[in-house]
Amino acid sequence: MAFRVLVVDDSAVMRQTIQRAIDISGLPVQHCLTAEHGRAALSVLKDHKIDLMLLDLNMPEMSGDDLIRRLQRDPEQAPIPFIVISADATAARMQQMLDLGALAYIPKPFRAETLRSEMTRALEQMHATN
Amino acid sequence: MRTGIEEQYDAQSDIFVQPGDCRFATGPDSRLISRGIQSCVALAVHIPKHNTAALLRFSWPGSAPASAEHVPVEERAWLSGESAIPALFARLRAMGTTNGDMSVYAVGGAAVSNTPGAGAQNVPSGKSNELAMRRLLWREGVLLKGEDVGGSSARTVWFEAGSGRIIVRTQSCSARPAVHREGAKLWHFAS
Repeated sequence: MAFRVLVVDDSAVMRQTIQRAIDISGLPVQHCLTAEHGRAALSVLKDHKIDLMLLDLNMPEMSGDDLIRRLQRDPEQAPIPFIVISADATAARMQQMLDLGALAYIPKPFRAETLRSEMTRALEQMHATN
Repeated sequence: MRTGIEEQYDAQSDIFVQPGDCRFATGPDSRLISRGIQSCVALAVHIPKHNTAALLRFSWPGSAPASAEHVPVEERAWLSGESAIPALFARLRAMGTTNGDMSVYAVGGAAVSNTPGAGAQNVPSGKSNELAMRRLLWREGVLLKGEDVGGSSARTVWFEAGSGRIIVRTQSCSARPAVHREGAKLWHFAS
C-alpha cells in the first residue's frame, strides 16, 4: 500500500531534507507534498488526501499545534495521523503534542534513520487500524 | 588471548578484514571478520539477492595522512571514508545492486583512549569517522539498518554472508543492548 505524506515546515532546507530522507528510506510513499506553514497545509489538504503529516511546530502564519487544533475542530475533516519534527524538545511541549494525538515526536536535528523508523511504526499502526 | 566465542566463530571459510581494507564474501558459509575495531568504522553491506556480503573498514574520515604513504596507492582508497565509501558503493552498483537490495550496518567509531598514538594530531577520533560515514552514506542515498557506534569500547565483528547476521563483541562492557532498527540482525556479546 502506498502512502501520501505532507511535510509542513517553514524551512525550505528542512523540507528538502525530509523529502530526501523519505526518498531514500525505501518506505512506500507515493507522493510527498510540502507546505511552508499551517495555513498552506490547510490549502493542500483541501485538494489532496493525505495519509500522514510530518509537522514542524513553530511556523509563521499558523503553527503546527494550531493546525492540528483547527483540523480536530472541523467535523468534516477525517483525522490525519501526524508526527512532530521540531527543535522544541521540551518535555512539556512533547507531552502537549502527544496529548493532541501525535504518533511520535522527533527532535531536530534528527537522523534520517530515526525518521524512517518512526514513519515505519506510524504506517504499520495506520495499516493495522484500517 | 582468544575467547571461546572467537574460537567458536573462526573457521576455514572466514575472511579477515584489516584496517584500510574491504573484502567481499559469497556463499552461505562465508564469514567476514574484523577484530579490534576502535576508532575505525566498519561498514557491513548484505545483499541477500546476490548472497553476498561486503565488509569495509576505514580508518580516517578524509584523506589519509602522510604516515600512510607506505601503503600502495591502489590500497589507499580503503583507508579513508571519503574515498572508501563511494568506491564500495560504486563496486556494488557495478554488480547490478541497487540501494533497495542492500542492508547496511555500521560498527565502531569508538573514542578509545589506548589507541596507539592517540593524542597525536593525526589520529582521528571515532566521532570524526562516524560523522564522515553518515555524511557519505547520505550522499550515496543509503540509510543504516542497524548500528553499534560510538562509546569507548573496542569491538570485533563477525558478519555472515549467507544470513546477513552480524555479531559484535565489545571488550569492556558486561551487558550491551542490541542496537538495531529492523530485524534481529545485529547481535552483541560482551567479554
